[in-house]
Amino acid sequence: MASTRQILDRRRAVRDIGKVTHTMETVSAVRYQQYYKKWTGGEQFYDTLAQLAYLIVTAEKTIEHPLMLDNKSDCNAILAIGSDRGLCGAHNANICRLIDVHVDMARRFGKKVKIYAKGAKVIGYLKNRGIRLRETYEDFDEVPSPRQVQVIADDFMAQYAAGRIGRLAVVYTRFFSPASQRAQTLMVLPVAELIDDLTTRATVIWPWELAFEDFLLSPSAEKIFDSLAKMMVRASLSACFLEAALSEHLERVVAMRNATDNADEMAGELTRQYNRARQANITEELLEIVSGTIT
Amino acid sequence: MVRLSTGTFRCVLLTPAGKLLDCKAGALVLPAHDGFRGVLRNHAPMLCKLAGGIMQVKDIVGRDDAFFLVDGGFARISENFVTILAHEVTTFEGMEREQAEKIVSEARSVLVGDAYIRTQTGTADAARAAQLVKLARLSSILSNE
Repeated sequence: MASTRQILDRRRAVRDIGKVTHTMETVSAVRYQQYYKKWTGGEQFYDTLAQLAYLIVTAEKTIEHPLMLDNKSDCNAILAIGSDRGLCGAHNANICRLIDVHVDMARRFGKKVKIYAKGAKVIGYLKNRGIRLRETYEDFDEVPSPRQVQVIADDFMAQYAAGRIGRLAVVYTRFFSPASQRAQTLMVLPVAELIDDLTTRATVIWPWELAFEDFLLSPSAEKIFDSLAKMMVRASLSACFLEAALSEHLERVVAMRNATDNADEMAGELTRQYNRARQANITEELLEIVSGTIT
Repeated sequence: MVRLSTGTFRCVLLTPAGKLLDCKAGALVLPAHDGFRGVLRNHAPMLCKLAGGIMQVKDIVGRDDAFFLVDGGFARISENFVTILAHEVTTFEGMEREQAEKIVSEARSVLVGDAYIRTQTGTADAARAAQLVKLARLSSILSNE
């Protein structure tokens, strides 16, 4: 049996760890609340964007746009969004598993893959696997500013329009609700798949206001679609970064809460062990005095 | 004589960061891609691309006029419901006076500083800064000198 001093040292260490995990939980809970507010605030924007895209692509006149067409390039781009810090459950492991699937699939079909990554954990994993990264995003913390998203999105759109990439997929943890988050791949380019995703994720897709009335379009449908497609790509990338950060913090809150509970439980168990050991020592000393033996 | 349409319509301004305006307004001036465009009640259904510029919402029920600096986007008008989608919007509404003045002073320094002369990007920044100063005047942050 461990000595009382050893038990006390261990309990102190466990309590210290508990304090650290509790602080991490609190910090992530605050960040989560901030991002959640942002996420709920933007929901209506994405719904309306989806409705506009739906109205334009279901118009009588078919729209042909470079970002809509398959450009037959044999190189795909993957934007992987992980986290900079660990201790957030299987957040990064799920992203890494999905990237592995994409890399294996590309190898099997003889395609090239350009990987762009955000998040130290994912970057470290890919480097360990010997996968060359095309670019990493270090100039922002978790969620990029509108200007930074614009630069990232414009770069991908230019590459797609020039035929240097045939697809752009974002691998991230999607935040469906506080009860559901899942690592998934969102196909951003060509935008046809993105429109499909946006229109099916929109919470209100068939309201009364979506009746097929005649619209005056200013400028022409093609020009509107050009701007709309760019806005969709930018907004989607922005949403991906936000949802990834949101999911990361929620997963960390859950993981750290469990860790804090376990630490409390373990400290309680160590307290019981300590009391038992202390009592055993007292009893032993008493017995020694009573029996008159010296050990 | 042509009578202007009277009455109000609903006006909603949406950005990825949230809903910035939801009100009943009497008139709206949009910075459309081809110039400013006025919207009154019973406007024809329209989908319009916006350029960078100041959006003015006038005769709002129960409050003062509102002004926003919009950096492109879309406006959808349908059955007296105007939805404006914009990725980046600047407004002085609800902002502390000190913060607003700081933004305006930064904008002014762009307008008169080296950046104005030096680069092409400086020209774009200067245009935006000029709009910001104009927005501050409309929002009564600055007096009309």
